[in-house]
Amino acid sequence: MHILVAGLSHKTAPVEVREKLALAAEELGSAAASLVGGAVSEAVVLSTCNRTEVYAAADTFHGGREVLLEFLRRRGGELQSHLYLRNDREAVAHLFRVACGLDSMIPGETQVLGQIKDAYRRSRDAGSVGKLLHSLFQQALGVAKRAHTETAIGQNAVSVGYAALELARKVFGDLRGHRVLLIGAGKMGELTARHLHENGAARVLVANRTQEKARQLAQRFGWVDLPFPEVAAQLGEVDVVVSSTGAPGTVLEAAQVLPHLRRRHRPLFIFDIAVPRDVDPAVGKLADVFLYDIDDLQAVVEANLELRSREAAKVESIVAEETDRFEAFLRELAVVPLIRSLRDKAESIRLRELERAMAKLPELDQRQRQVVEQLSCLLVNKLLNDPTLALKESMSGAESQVYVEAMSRLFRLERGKAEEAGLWRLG
Amino acid sequence: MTTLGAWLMGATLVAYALAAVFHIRELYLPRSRRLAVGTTLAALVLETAVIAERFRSPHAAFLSLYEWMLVLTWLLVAVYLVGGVRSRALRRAGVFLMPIVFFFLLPAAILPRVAAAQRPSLSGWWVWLHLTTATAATGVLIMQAVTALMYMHLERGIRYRMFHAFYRRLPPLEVLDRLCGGLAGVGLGLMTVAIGAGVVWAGHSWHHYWSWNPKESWTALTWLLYTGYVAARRYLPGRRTVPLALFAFGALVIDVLLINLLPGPHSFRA
Repeated sequence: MHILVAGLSHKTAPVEVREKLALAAEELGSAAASLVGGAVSEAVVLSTCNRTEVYAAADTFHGGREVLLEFLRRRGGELQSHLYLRNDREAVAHLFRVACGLDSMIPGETQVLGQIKDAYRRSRDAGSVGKLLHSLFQQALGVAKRAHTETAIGQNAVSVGYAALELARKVFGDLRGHRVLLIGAGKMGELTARHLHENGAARVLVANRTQEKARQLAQRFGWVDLPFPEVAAQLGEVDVVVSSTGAPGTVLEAAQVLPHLRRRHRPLFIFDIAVPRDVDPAVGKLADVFLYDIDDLQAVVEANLELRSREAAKVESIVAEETDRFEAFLRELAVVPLIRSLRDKAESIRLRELERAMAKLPELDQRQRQVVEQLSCLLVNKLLNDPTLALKESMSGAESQVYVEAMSRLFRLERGKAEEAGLWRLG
Repeated sequence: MTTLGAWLMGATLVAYALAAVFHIRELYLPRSRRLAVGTTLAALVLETAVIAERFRSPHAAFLSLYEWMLVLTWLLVAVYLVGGVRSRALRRAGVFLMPIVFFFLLPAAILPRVAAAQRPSLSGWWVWLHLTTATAATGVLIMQAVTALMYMHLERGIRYRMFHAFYRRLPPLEVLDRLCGGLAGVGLGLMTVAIGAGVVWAGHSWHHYWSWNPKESWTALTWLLYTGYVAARRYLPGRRTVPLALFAFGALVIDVLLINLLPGPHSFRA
């Protein structure tokens, strides 16, 4: 049995190639189902804007490879130079890396995790997922969870909007009880509004030069709009200001702001994400005022991205560890049928011989019979315990196949079971 | 002091030094907290043994600077370890607290230790009140200084866009600010009670309430500085008042570590 992955991603193919292969979410299940049969026994199709990948469990490497490449070729034409194909251990590690966001444009992003979950669910519902890919995808989700709890790969904002939000939280803690003033109801303003809304900001004032637009935006989130000339007067009351107007000059001058800040002794955080800038840089010199412009936020994002890349090394070692674990799990799975047939054989011998012995000893009473029966059980269990353990342990070594072979010959077990055991190994 | 006591004290100091180092290391390796807490716990256990060994001999507590420091630092570290389970601000305080504990214990341990004689004036309810509130005030104000340092670090980090490892792990600025104010208020209150109890007791014992000896004068100065800080907080932003808090703490450190060595009723030199 082999696990294979074939596909392309933003690292190997430009968008005009990727879009040819992209599948809609509704197509994923039927596409996966169409792969199963012949060499491929299980399949999951994953398609996001950055990648299209097909995961499969196949009886033979070449057979599986042909099915996957044919599938991709049919959809996207000749893609040879953009495609990658990995098998067995590399394929397992690849899925784990993708799930952790190591293969994403922004390291540690979690969107891909949802997409993997979705792809798995759709393929499963279409009936193309069996024991092998089920275990693989379940573990992949676990690996991603582990990476995110044990490392900082997913921490620290990597977009300007979230960087601003994170800074505001660093000053105020929760935004729920704090007042926010949003200046500008354009595209950037709208995006910021959505961020704020998602993060629980409830006391938000919206101001715009055309007040009608401010009112519309405020109404959408249940906030209040503010006439534009009253903006400066509100600075004494609010905690966070986000300014993103398209005004050609400054909207907030230091001299205009100063009188309103005199009486406040709480910090005021101003994010000026407009170009050209809305807020006079001198405002940032005032005590208890923090002023960040778009370049500052961009620098924060850059620093955070670098931090995430540094965390990536730790995640790689988690991936390697988990890949080992998956292999070990497969090996254990592999010996299960062999051990079961050994147990079955022993049990049938025991029952046969016990019956024979009891027939010769009709004078035994209830208790004596029980003792004899227990003796037979004990003998079988104790005798089989060591070889069973040794077999399980041998599965992590190089000569595991020898053990499987020896076990089946020594105990004259059915050949079919032994072969099945061999097939459950990767590679 | 017995040989055993000296050995235990040496081990305690080494353990606190290690705890300080591991707390600093934890800034850069966030997952190494276990080691930092482990050494701190070991230091606290050793210090408990020192205190037990010390107080076996029958004489009143708090009578030498050394013993008083032991009790004070023991309380601080115990509060840090227990409170740190719940409070993030307290967990982050460790990196400042451990060096402070070390430097408070070090001079007390190496300075000449003359066991104070049992003085008849050192008994009674007012003494008890004076000593406990003075100890509590010192402990609370040490925590206040630590919080002020964290506030300053975070504030500067955000203002000057310097995002060091520690920055990412501090609680929000407003939380630290509230803690600064709260701890200063409690510390000042305790200090006021301590001074009041001291005045009453001095009146009982020596029939003069206030004699402007070095300890009294310096404590009055420290009290004024903290009062100034608490008052200034109402009118000035945090960034402006934090230096005053640290300045007042400097006065407190001198009060506790140096002034107590001068002759007078507070002298630990007996």
